[in-house]
Formats: sequence, structure tokens, C-alpha cells
Amino acid sequence: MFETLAEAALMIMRFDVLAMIAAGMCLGIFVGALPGFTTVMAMAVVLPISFFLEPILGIPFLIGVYKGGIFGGSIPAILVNIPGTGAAVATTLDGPAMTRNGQSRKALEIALVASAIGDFLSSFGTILVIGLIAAIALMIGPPEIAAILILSLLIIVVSSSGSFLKGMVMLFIGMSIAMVGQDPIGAMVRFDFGFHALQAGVNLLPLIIGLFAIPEILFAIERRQGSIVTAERTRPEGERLRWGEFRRSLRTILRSTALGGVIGMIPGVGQVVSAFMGYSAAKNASKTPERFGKGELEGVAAPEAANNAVNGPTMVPLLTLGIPGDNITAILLGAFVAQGLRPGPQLFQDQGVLVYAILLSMLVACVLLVIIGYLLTPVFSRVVTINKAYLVPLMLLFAVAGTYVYRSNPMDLYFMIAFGVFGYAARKMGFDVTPLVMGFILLPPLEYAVGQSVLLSRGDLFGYLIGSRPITVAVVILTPVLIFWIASRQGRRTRAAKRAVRDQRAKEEEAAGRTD
Amino acid sequence: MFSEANGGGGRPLRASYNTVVALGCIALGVAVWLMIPYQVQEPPAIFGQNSSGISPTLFPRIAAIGFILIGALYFVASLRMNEPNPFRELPALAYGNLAVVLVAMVLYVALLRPLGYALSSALVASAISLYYGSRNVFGIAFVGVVAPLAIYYLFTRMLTVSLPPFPWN
Repeated sequence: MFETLAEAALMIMRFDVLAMIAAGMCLGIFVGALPGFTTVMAMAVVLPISFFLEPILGIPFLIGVYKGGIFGGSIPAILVNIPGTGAAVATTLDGPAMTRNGQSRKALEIALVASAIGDFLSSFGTILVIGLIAAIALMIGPPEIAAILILSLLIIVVSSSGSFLKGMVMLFIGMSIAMVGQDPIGAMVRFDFGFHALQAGVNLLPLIIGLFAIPEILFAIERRQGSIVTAERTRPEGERLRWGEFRRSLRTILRSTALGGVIGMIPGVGQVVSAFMGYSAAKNASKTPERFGKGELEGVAAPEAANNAVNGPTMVPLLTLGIPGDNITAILLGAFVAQGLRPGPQLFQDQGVLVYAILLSMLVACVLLVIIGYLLTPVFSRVVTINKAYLVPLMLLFAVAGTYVYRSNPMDLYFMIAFGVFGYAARKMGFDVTPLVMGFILLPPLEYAVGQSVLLSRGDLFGYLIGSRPITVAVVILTPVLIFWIASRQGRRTRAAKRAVRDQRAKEEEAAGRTD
Repeated sequence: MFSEANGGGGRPLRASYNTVVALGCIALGVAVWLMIPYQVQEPPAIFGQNSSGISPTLFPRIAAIGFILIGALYFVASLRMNEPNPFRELPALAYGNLAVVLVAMVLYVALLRPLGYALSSALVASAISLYYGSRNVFGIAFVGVVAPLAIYYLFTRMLTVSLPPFPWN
């Protein structure tokens, strides 16, 4: 393993690799800092760029966008109380209060340091264990893969925002879209409706760009409100972060990192839950919990470390089993597949050095995040006020160019628009699109794994599973138990998070009322 | 139709947009099930055996049944969902804005090949920026001229992939 790591380290010690990570990171922080535009949208729009670069440039570029975007989201959360991304919602509990106390510079710096440490440590841990997990994954066969895929899909549904039933509807829609074209076992044509073009199936790129980028454009255009943020508070002010304050927050950062690291390995749970869990754990462990919500430094450090600590471990199910845990890793999966790298345990055997080089680029990205964030946060803080009259057309230009270049087929653009309208309507009605994307991506491997399991069973699937596949039986039995447990915890956590945000808003309104 | 109070007390049963979506799910499930014989090819049987383990109709059938079952549960649950219709809350102006941008997008795609990427992008980006409310000449020039040319250059020169060229090329 050490030889592989050494070769991988040599592979990324190139100026162009560092430059691509830095470029991706600047872009990610830029988009993350824009209220109303998400990291997922940025990644979807620039995904096609990565297709035409070497894998060692293209995928680290996307990793840079990813890490930059998650941190960038905390800038408007702290400065103007508008989370740039979902992951930064928990940061609005204490960040804006610090800004009101004249400590926005300190809040941004602790957010940066906590993000980088949380991300670095969790990515480092990921690099240490992922090879072992891949080796174990290599030993499992089609029945286990099928059982794990079903479990993952159900976890993604129960963890999605909105109700379980709505999540299931989206999952079945995603699976149905994936059925258009040819079946993955015998290449039999399905649901082509007589159109030859549909026999190749629906491409992932128009689906991803359509679902993640176009709805943002449509939401922005609804009210044509222009720039809603005034420039008064967008300059970091107050003292810098002191060494003593950082040391005091270190325990919180490490606790959040451990929490985020565990959550990241479970598909579907993601950064938002991790951030709120990190915040609650910090508040419970604090000797002065009453200061949380009023501008507590650890109240910013905890969610920022926790949401970034998810980043590294999400690569474990993605790279070892080909299961993306969230929308961002689904986009990364698209990048891997387009580069001819099909994630799964075999990838570690065939392309071990490249996989480790990509994983090491995550550590490099964390170091770059500190440098770029420290130097450029004041610049990115100004981004918060950019008028959407320029951003909306810019996003559209990128979305169209990116979708078109992949197959040079205008049909893909019509698909993109159709998925965009569908995604907009779905989000309006409280349907999360994540289960749809996962259903679309994971149906072909699921169908393949089930087909192979049936062939292996020689006609007696039940007897074969009971007699020879105890792990599959255990996963199948555990699935409903796990789903029920996650659903009940998820419900409790969502209610607690909603209550925390509501209390915070009430406190702010009360404070505003007093000053009037 | 469902607005009368529930006999057992509690919240009244009320049809909402969720009820319509739930019925749509059931209809979709039935449609998928009925389409399977016409839209899914069966593989040839070798010595009377299916060589691929499972039929290509298996997962479409699972999806169809899933739509019907989940749709039915969703229908029942929808009668207790007290969510306002998000589309009714939108002002008429918002529908106008959405329609304008969607028409612009479709025109953009239609013009992409005849006019080329840079020119069609320039037209659509300037139009959307103006419609959104910008009156800043430099801002419009940036999204209408600089950005389309920069993206065209990025893809065609730096990444060496093709976008529809200028009409005079």
C-alpha cells in the first residue's frame, strides 16, 4: 500500500494538478457564496469540463469545486444569515450573531479552519481504511451487492427531505427513466416508444444538469428580484481569530470531525444532518450551553467541521461499491464513469495508483482551502451581493455548452430543459430529487446483480441464499430494522433542527423588535 | 369531495394537490404495466431456458406495482396532508417570468446550430439579463459578449471539443 501511496503522491506533485484544484476551489467558493446557488449546481454545470481533462486533472478539479463550495456556503450564512448551501444552515445558528457582535472576521476564520481540519482528518482516515474496505468488497458477490444496493436506495429515500412516500415516488421515477433504452443483462430494448434515439437510453448529463442547475435558474427568475442582499455587512470586520480561541475550539472540531466521518460513510445522510448533529453535540458538551445561539465561536466551529468531515468518507461507498451517498458523489460518479473508471472494488486493483492519487488530492485540496480561504475570503464576501441578472444567464450558458459538448446532440438539450422543469415542479411540491438520481444511477447495477444472483442460484434462489449466502440474508433481515431506526432518528433530528432554527429566528425577531 | 369531517374526529379529510399527484402515480403504474408487453423485448429462449437469469420485464413490473402501491398509500396520506398548493401561491407575474425564460431556453436550443453557440448565447444571455432587470451596459456586455466568447474558447480551444461554430465559419 505504501508503494502505491508513494507513486500516487508523485502523480499529484504537478503544477497543473494544483492549479486545477485551486481553480475548482475558487469557483466552488464563488458559487457557494452566492445565496440561492448550490455546490451541487456548480458541480453539475462544470462536470462536462472534467470529461475532457486527464482523470488526474478533471476529478481533483471537481473535488476542488466540492470543497470550496461547502466552505463558500458558510460566507453568506455568517455575514447575511442566508446559507449559501444546505450544509451551511446550521452555521446560521451562531454565525450571524457573531457578525452582529462585530466578530464576522473571527467567525469566517474559525469556519475556514474548522472546515479544513474536519475535511483533512476525515479524508486522511478515509485513505487509511478505504483499501481494506475495497479488499473486503472484492470478496462479496452479486447477491450481497444486490442486497447492499437495495439497502442503500432505501436509506437514501428515508434520509431525503420530504416524506417517505414522496421519496419512494421519486425513486420509482428514477428507476423508470433508467429502464428506457436497453436492459443491462441481455441488451433487450425497453420503452423506446419507436424512437431510435431512445434506444441508447437517457444520458446522465442532461439529467444531472437539468435537475440541479435549471431549477435554480427558474427559482431565481420567478420574482426577478435582482440582488436582494445589500452591501453593508459583506466586509469581514473585527479581530482575527486568536491561537487561544482556536485551541479552545479544537476539542469541538475533533468531536464534530468524528461524527461527520461516521455519517459520511452511510449513503444518503449527508452534510446537513452532520452539521446539526455536530452543533447539538458541541452544545451538550459545553460548560456554557446558554451562549450557543448568541454568537458562540464553537457554535460556528462545530457545524463547519462536521459538514466538511462528511466529504472524505462519502468516497468509501462510492469508490468501493459504486454507491454514491448524495447528489455530489453522484456527480463524481458521473465523472469517474466518463473517464472510463467504473467505481467498485476492482478499480483499486486495476487503477490503484490513480485512485489513491485522487484521494490524496483531497488532502492537498484541504491545505489549499486554508490558503485560498485565508487570502480571498474578503474578496468572496463581496460575491454575496452580485446581481442575479448576470448570474442566471451565465449559468444557462454553461449548462447548455456542457450538455451539448458531450454528444453534440441537441436532443440532450431538450431533455435537459424537460428535466429542469420537472425538477422545478418537484421541488415546489416538496419532492427531493436525490432518490430519483440514485434510482436512475443504481438501477442498472441492481438489475445486473439480481440477474447474476438468479443465475448462480440455478433456479432455487431462496434455498441458495439461505444455504450459501448468510451475509445477504443478514442484510435483507437487517434492512427493515435499519430503515425504521434511521427514519425515527431522522424524524427526531429534523424536528430538533427545525425547532433550533425557529427559536433562533424568534430570538432575532424579538431582538429586532426591541431595537425598533 | 373529501372535505367533510372525518367521522372519528381529528383533522378533516381534504383533497389537495398531493391527492392529484397520488392519483397520477397510480395511473402511471397502470400505464407502465399495460405498456410492458408492447415496449419490452423478451430475449430468445435457448433450449427453453432464459439465459439472462431474469426477464427484462421484471424490474418494469416491480416499478409498476411500486407506483400503484405507493400511489395508493400516498393517496390515503394525502387526505391528511395540510399543505397549500405551491403553484396557487405564485403570482401571475411569476408564471409570465417562467414562461418567458422557458421560451428563451427552447429558442436558444433551436438557434444553437443555425447561429452557432457564441451568437445564440449572446442573444439569449443579453435578453435574459435585460428581462431580469439589468440596465447596466457593462454587465450586459459581460454576459452577452465576453462570457459566450470565453466559454466558446474554453470548450473549443482549451478542451478541444466542438460547439456549434459561428454561421460564417
